[in-house]
Amino acid sequence: MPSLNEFQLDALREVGNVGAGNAATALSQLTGQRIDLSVSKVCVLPTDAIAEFLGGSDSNVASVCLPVYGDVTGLVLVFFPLDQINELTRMLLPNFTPVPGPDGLSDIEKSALRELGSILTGAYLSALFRFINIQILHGVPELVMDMAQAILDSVLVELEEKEDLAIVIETELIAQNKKMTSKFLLLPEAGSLERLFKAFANTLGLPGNG
Amino acid sequence: MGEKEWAVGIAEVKVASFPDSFVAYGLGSCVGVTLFDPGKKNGGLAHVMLPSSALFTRGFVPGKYADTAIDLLVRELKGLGSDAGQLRAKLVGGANMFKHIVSHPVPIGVRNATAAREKLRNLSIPIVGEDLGGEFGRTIQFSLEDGRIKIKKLNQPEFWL
Amino acid sequence: MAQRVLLVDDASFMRMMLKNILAGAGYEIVGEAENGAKGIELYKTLKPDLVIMDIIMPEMGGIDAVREIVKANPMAKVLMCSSMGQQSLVVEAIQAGAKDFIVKPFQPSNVLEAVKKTLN
Repeated sequence: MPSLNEFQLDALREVGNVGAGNAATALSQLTGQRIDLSVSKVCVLPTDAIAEFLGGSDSNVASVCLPVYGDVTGLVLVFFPLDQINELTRMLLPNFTPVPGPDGLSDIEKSALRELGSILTGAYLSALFRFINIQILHGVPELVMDMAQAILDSVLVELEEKEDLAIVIETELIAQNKKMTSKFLLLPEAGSLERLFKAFANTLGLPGNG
Repeated sequence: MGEKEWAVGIAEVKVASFPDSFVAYGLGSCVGVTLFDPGKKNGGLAHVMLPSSALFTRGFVPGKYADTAIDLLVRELKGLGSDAGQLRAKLVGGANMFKHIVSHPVPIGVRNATAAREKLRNLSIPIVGEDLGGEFGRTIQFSLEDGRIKIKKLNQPEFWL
Repeated sequence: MAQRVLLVDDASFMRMMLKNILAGAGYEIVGEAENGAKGIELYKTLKPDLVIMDIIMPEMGGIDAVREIVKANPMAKVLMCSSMGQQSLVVEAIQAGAKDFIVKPFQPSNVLEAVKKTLN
């Protein structure tokens, strides 16, 4: 099973840091308050370990899902623990008193969460471009709140010949002294993962897969 | 010998006898197919991901596909001493959680449910209960005492099928 | 008289942000659409002075919509919104007829500057 070696993981960590920095600036400007992001973990995970990483198959999560295309095709999933959702929406909409919808969130809050997922995704993908010259564009975000395994089930089956590996960047968001966790997962389709690893290797002048 | 609750993960098929039971966590577009023999209190659960083995591309796992998973389930239950004519089926899952990232005009959850129903019909196994479709994932516990299934969805009270 | 602006973006959150920035500076938001097709429709009926349009939207994206709007009115003023890392799409949008672009998420001063520039 292909993986990233030490140098490549370091490069991924840098991608995470740069992306997190840009996302923090963007989010701070957007909300008019100080928001800090720091990368707490980067790794490559086999897809059958993802549910555990998210807190267990039946842990409740909110997930923003975006199709990605370009040099790498596949899906990006950005996960937030469901019990931090209200803190996240308060961070994004500091002066707004929402009117809850049937599932507890107003349309504006759901839209804000989709945008949060989009912003984080855009930040990491453009950092990837900067570091390893891989251009990945993202499409329309979708928000789903449910059990981790149910979301993964539904998503993995849509990826034709998925690569069985996910690139993971876990980030802490800090605003108003509250800490929230986001987990960014890039799930590439067949062939794309190899392209990604080759790009890491080329940039760092190292031979192929680790 | 203590009773065991068997977790059935994606693409897995498991059978057992009472007082054992089964659990499947987070069925999204997957369909949980249960077969129960009320006389001998044998039963099994298949966690099906795709509708047909004709779609298999690499690394064939029978539990992944509705047709081969159900065949395997029946075979294993016969191994426990059950007669195919005594089996009753229930189907849970097949949700459609995403609207935009779908790659096929018919949502995979619907295709899985249709495939499971068709296979069971071909085997003349009656379907005595269903909780399919919708937009939410389900966690299910399947009891071999009476073949009932406890279903839990996000933010909703549990109920029995 | 206030300049009339049409907002086209699938994210109600973003439309709300833009409305706050623009209304605060004296612009009139005459309509909102959540995809390119609705945007084109509203452009034709409302005839705004300026359209602010997102690139990535369901049903019909911004690049196709700009093309249609400029076809209907070569003098149309469209300002594109792009996310971080979508610069290549911005180039396409400008080639399709957009006048300028702003990057999400917005800094109010950047938005107002781009709007002023595009309208003059």
